[in-house]
Amino acid sequence: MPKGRATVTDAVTITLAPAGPVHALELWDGAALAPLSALLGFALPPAGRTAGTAALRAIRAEPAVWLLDGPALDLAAITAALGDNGALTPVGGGLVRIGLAGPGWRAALMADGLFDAEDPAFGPGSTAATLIAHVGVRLIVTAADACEVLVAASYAPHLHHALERSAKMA
Amino acid sequence: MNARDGSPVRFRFDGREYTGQAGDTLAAALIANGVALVARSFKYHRPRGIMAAGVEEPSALVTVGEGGRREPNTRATDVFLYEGLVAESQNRWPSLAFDLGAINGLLSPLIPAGFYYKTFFGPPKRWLRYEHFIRKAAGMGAPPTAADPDAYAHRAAFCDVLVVGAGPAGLAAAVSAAEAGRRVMLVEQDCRIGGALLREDVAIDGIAGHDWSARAAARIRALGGRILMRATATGYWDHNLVTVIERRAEPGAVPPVDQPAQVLWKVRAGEVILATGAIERPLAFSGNDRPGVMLAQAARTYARRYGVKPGRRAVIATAHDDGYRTAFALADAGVEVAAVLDSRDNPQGTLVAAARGRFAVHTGAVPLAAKRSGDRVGALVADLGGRQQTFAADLVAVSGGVTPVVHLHKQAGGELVWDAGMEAFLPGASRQANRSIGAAAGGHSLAAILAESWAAGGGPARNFAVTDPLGDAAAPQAAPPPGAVAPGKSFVDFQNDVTLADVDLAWREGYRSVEHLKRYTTLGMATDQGKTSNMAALSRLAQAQGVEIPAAGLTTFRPPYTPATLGAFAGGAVGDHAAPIRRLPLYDKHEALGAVWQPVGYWRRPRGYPRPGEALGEASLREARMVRSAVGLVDVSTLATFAVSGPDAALLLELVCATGVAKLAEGRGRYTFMLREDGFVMDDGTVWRTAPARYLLTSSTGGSDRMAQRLSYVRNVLRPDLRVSVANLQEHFAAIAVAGPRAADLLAELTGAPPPRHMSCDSGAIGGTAVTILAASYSGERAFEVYAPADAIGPVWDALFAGASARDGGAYGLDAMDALRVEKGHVVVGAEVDGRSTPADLALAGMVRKAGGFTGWQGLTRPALADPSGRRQLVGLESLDGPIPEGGMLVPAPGQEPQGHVTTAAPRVAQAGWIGLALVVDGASRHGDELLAWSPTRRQQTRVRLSASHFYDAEGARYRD
Repeated sequence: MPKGRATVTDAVTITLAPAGPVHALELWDGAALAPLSALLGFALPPAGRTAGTAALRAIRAEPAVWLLDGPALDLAAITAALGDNGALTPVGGGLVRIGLAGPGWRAALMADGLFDAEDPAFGPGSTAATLIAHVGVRLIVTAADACEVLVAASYAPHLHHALERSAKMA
Repeated sequence: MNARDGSPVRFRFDGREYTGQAGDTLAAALIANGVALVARSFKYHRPRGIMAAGVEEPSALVTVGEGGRREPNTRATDVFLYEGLVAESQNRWPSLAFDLGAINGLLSPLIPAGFYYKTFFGPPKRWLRYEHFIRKAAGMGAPPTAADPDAYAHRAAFCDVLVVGAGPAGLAAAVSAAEAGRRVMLVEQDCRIGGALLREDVAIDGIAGHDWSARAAARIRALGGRILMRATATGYWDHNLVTVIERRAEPGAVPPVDQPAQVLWKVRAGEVILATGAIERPLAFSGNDRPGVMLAQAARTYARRYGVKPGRRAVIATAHDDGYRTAFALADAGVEVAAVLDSRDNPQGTLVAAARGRFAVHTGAVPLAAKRSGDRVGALVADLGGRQQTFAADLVAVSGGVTPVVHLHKQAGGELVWDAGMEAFLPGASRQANRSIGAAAGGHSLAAILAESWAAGGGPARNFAVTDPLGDAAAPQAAPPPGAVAPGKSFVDFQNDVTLADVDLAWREGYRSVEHLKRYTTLGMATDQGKTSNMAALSRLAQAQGVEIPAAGLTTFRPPYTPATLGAFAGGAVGDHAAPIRRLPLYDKHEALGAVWQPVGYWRRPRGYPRPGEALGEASLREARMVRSAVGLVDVSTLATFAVSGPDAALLLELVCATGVAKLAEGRGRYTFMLREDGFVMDDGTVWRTAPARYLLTSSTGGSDRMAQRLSYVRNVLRPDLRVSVANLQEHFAAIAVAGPRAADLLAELTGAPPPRHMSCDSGAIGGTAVTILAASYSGERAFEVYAPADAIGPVWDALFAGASARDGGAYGLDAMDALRVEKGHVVVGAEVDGRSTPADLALAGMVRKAGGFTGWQGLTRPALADPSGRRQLVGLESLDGPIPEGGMLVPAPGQEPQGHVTTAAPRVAQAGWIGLALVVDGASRHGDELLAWSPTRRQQTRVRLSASHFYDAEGARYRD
């Protein structure tokens, strides 16, 4: 994987990096919601949304699953807050984070895509799982002019190529 | 009239250089240069010129571009001039002017419609010989043989309103929708906005039509709307999905840097407004295909939009008022208008009255025959109410009514209704969220069209002031059916050389259905799809049947609306990117070792690591023997891996796995397999209890997605009440299998601790990376699978590889792994586990949990599966000759009924010879039988003896502690 490589066009800059220690948090009942909110400093977000900051962000991934992402992740504290009400599993070893920055990020995601990334409602704090160039991805809008794409590392070179191509069209 | 003061553009046609101007179509530029003969017809090689001014052009097909950018059958009316454009005529030899193929015209009585159905009887192989000559004698342009150097792309788009067509109706609707705050997308196949306004001398709200169009487009863009030019809506699919092909480079042209030649847009719209206009109909008369016979609106377009004179002296033959507009336009452009022939007996109205004051207008007048002068028309013979008169003219502009473009409406599943006044099908009820407006809906009054279109866009009702110096035209009207036809060919379908006589012949020969007529005569086929011909043919068929046109039927409106380049459908999915390629975390390590890559689904995995001068088979055998004698490393990162956690984790696993899991002690693992609901084996793998309430489940690479779906289904649908978490770790973990008699020693050295016992698991660190070690053997040797996060696996591999190398070991690939597992008798998903095998078939029945309660248990109890007799069962194969053909049938003798098949074959590792695994009817009780492994397609056969499936260390002494 071309880690750290940046592709720059007039409309969008693409960067690649390992995703880092992303964890999947799955809850099988709601008993842990309150202690987790207290610990994280924010409520776990609803479907299609993220919460938190770059230091510690929660991303709703499935009905009962959130991805926890960021350097401020305190695994021991979260595990303690979870108790017997959920599980925390590291998943970041196989994820790559592709950053898209610039006014063309939305258009870049439309090439070979299926999802309406150009919908103005899909703004900062939004997240979606979709396919781009036949590859499953998770989109996380981090700012008005920036979006992160989490993708399985094995697919990252293929997706990176597709995004480079689409960025030039954007 | 356009002053033709645009920038000059040089181009070549049939090797000769010409100059046109920017904005010209190739057709306009050829007309401007006095080129009338542009093409030869499909079957009779008749000289053809330019008939239309848009995508409906049936005759002027040319090949544009060179090398890989060569595009055959391009309508000269649908390619816009660019510097250096190269075009060639087609279907002629040796030249366009002197075409020996024109002899087909003389032979036409011998080659009527469907002649080859009547002529070429006999064995099918003879057709191949006939076809060779037929293809040479008739046809279209030759496809390019060089690879296309350009890129193509796909793109999605979403909008509230998609408007197809940027004529006055489409523009009004799009502006209205944009001003109402809706997300608007407008697509136009032309390179200019305006549609019919580009050929009409009208003003809207006091602004000239073309200026009004430009302002409307600017307004749409200012409101955030998207406008695509040179973009054709080619197909209308379910759920309001419309495919649009956007040309970013003209045919044959080099695209802009980093841009694709074409983009296939997949547009999902809340609503689709079809403002696709209408196509003018030609008239049927003898010689109506001569260069110089042109649709009246096209003649007007060339005069007004392009500023070129399509002839010097014109006769206009029309069935309705619209033809009169052409008379005025041509006269204004300096063309002498010899006469206006109106098929109506008593036309009235301001337009007709104005024409009577300026031109010789003949009513009740219909054209009978076009006379040639050289290759183009020189005169028109007309019937003027029973009296024949010949008009000298090099341009015959015809208008036989209009056909609304309802293709997309029909593709969307919409109904059609018959308008007896226009004699045309109009859009009826829609099945999707679409509506048709403007001429596509039968509209003809510009003011009314604008008002209705504005309302369609969602804006409040408003009127538009239209200034038309010629006044209103009456509603379009179709030409009356042709009466007595003059000698010579009266064409209905110009592209496929189908005449009125051909339609009549088909009728006489019993072809009553329009669908049969189409296929018998080829009418309405090929790139044109009957845009100018279908209604004329329907009319003739209805005339023969004595019914109204709707009763004669209608052919199907199939996408694409206009021809599409195959590259547009492929998009970026070509070459190495035809499908995603999944790259291993250790890709660079394997590449450095000289791996030969094997596609495994989307993955690429090392098949082997040949040394210089070593064949792959030799390398694989060497690697397998290395594992038997020392230690080998194989990358198993592609295995499906799931973390199952929580108080109910074992409960979930027992729903998924057919073997016992609940009693598994912490730190222990076991082989397992999973069944489909019908009781057949779906996948296999291992399950490990890594903590009191945490398990690791592995399964096959190929079945990983299927297993993920199964786990999700069981977790979320069957038992959402369980307190359990399932996390897919296939990508999170990378894994290296370490196998061989020195594997334990290697791991002990690297971890500083004794490795786990067989079917136990432990954690440790290798190369500074925390790892999980599962002691399981797939090779028959003492073996371990070392798991670490994929982004940290590199140092683990380096340490293991260095240690293995120091022990006469190294890396091994898939072929060696396969040879080892066959020798050991392990089954693999995709070969022995082929979706038709039960646990008993695979000798796994003893492991099935007797209490049931797992997915597939009920299916497994069905009598057909529970009774083993007659089922194909796993056996080993020992070759009595040479290599065993993998996949071959197992038969008593060639040609006899197969009794089974070879699932896998491999060379023996431990000794010489070939072995395999097979599924054979009642195989478990037939050890010792001899059969023939027979592959007639590969012309291979090998005698084999059935045996137990274990060829190596059947008691498992080598991997047990």
